[in-house]
Amino acid sequence: MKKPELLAPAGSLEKLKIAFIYGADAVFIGGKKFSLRARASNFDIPEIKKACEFAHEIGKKVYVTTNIIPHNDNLNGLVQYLSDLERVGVDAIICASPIIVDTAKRHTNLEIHISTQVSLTNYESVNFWCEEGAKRVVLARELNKYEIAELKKHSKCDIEVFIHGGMCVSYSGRCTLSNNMTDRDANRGGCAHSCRWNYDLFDGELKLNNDIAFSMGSKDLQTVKQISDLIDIGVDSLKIEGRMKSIHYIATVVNTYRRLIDDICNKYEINLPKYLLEIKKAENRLTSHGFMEGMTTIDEQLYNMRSENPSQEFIAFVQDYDEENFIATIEQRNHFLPGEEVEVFSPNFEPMKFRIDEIKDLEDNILDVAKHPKQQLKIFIPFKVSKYDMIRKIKHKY
Amino acid sequence: MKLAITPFSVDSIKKLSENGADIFIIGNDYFANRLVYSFSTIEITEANKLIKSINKEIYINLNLIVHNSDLEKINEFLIFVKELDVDGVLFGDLAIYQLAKQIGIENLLIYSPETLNTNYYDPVFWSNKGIKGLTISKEITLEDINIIAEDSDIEISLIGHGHLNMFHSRRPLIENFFKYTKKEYDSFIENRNLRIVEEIRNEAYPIFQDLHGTHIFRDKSLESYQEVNILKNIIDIFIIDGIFKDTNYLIETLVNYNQLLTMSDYKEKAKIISKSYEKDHDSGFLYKKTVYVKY
Repeated sequence: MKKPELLAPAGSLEKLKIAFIYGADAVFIGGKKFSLRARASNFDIPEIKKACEFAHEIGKKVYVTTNIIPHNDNLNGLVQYLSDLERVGVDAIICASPIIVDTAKRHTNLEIHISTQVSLTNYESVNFWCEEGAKRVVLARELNKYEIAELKKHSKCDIEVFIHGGMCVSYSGRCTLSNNMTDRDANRGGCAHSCRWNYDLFDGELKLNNDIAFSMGSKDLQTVKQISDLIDIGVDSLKIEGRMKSIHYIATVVNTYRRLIDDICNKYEINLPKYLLEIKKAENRLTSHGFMEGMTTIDEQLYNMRSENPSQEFIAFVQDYDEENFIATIEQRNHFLPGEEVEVFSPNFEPMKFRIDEIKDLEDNILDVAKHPKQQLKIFIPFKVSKYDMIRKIKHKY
Repeated sequence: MKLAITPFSVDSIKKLSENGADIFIIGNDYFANRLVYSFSTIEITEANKLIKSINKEIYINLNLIVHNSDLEKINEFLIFVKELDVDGVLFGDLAIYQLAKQIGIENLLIYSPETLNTNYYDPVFWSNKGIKGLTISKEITLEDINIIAEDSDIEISLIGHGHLNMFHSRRPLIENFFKYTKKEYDSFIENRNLRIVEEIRNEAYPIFQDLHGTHIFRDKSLESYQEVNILKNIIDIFIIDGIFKDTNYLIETLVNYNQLLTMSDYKEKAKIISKSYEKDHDSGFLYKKTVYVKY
C-alpha cells in the first residue's frame, strides 16, 4: 500500500512550520505574484526561500501557487519570478494557464502541477497536461471516488485530490459571478464568494421562496470516511484547502489526517468516530463529503445560513516546559481563567486533559484572568508538553 | 468577419441565412451546455445538408464538461461529426481535443472554455496544437481583445451579442433547494423562466438546471452595436447567442448588425440602435476592467 503525500496549506511561515510539525509532508503557499487567494498573507521571495530551507532540512516539500488565469497586463515579470522560484528551491509550481506552464518549461526546470482551476474531470484532459510535461494534476472537486479510481487507472501522471476545506460551488475556473457582481475577478484572486450570498428565486414574477432564502453555498469538504478508499485507489497526494485558516485549524486538520493515513497504512484498526470527533474541533462551517459518494444532495448544501463555531477554542501555544517543576511557559491566544478544564493538543500524543490551576506572568504575579493576546504566561501542567503543543478549551459540545 | 448564430430550428436556418448569418452553431444537449435548442442527430444531419446547400458554414457545439462516463459517447459523436464534414467544432474540455486528435479532426476544433482564453499567448499555444481557432473569454475588455487577436494565426471568435453565462455548477441546485423546502420541483427543472435576485442588488439573473447541472447568467444581455465596426477589423467570427430569446429576435439582431457593417458612417445609427436596447442590454466587459486584487 502506497502512502500518499499529505499536502497542507500555509498562509505564513508560522503556519508552514505548524503544518510540518503536525504531520504534513508538503505545503502549498502563495507568492506575491500570479497567485489566487490575493488576500491571504502571501510570501515574498526571501520568505519562500526561508520556507524551502526549513522544509528541505526536515525532508519536506514546498509548492508555490501560480494559478491565476492572467490577462495581458498581469504578465510582466513572469520569467524573472519563475526563475526566482527555481533559484530559492521550490519543489513545484501549481499552474492553470498555458503561458505560465510554457514559460516555466522554457526558462526553468521547475516541476509543474496543474491547478484545480482548470477543472480536470476526466482522464483524457488529465493526460493532455501530462503530455504537456505536468508531473501532477489536481483534480476537480466535482468527482466521486469511483470516477477518481477510473481516472487514476488511466492517468499518465500523479493525481492530487482535495480531502478537506472550502468548496467552490461552480466548476472552478469557470465562474464569473464575482466579476459580474463586484467587478472582482474570481480567476485572478478577487473572488467575492457571491455563490454564498442569499437570493430570492422567481418564476417570472412569482417569488418561489417565501420562508427561506435561496442559497447555493456548499458545506466544507471533509473526507475522514473516504481516506481509506483514496489510499486504495492510489491517489498520490491528499490536499487540505485553507491558506487563510488559523494555526489551530491547520494543526488539528493536518494532525487528524496524518494519524488516520498512518493508521490505515500501518493496517491498524481504524476508530473513525475518534477522527471525526477530533476534526470537528477545528470545524467552523458544517462539513460533508462533497461529491465523494456521488451527486450532491441537500446534505452537501448550506441552507438557512446554518453554521456553527468550533467546539474547541484555542487558548495558548506552548513555548517551553520545565520538567522538574511541571511548569509550562505558554503564549496566550484567547481569553481563559483559572479552573477551566482544557486539553493539550500535540503532534506527539493523543489529546490529554487537565484543569488550569494558577496563571502567572513571567514575574510570578498571579493573574485572575489571561486576557492579553500573545502574553507569556506560566501554568502547571501535570504531564510533559513540548514547544508547539497547543492548549484548547473543552466546550463539552460533543 | 463572419456572423455566427444559434438557430432555434432547422426550419429557421434559411431565413437567418437570408438575413445575413454566415455560420450556424448547433448542438445536442447531451454534448453541449446552454443551447437554445437541442438538435437530434437526425436534425443535425438535416441542418448540415441544408447549410451546405446554401453555401453557409456549420459549427457543432460540444462544450460540455466531460466526465469519464461520457468519453465513449463523445467518441462516437465525434466520428459522426467527422462524417458530416462540418466546418468547426466548439469545445470547452480538453478531452474533446484528445479524442478529436485520435480521429484526425483536431483541425476543426475551436477552443471555447468561456473563461480561460484571457491573454495574447492563448492563440499561440493553441495554434501549436493545430486547432482551427479559439473563442475569447467573456470578461475581456475591447482593448485586450485587440491584443489577443492581433497576431493570432488561428481563427478568433467572440460572443458579441447575447446572454452570457457566469456560473456553471455540477450540482442540482434548483432541485436540492426545493427538496430542502419540501416542495415539488419537477416543473422547475429545465425551466428557463427562473431568475434569482440578490438581497441588495436589484438585478435578476436567469438560472436553470439541466442534465449538466445549474447555470446562472448575467442579468443583461450583451450588445456590441457601437463596437461591431471596430471588432470586424480585430476578430474573425462574431457570435450572436440567442439563449432566452427567439428566432425573431435573432433576425432583428442580424439585420441591425448587417446594416451597421455595411454603413460607412455608422456611428450615429449605432448609438440609436444601442440606445433602443439599453433597458435590458449592456456592453458587458468591453469597457469594464475587472480588478486583479493586489495586496
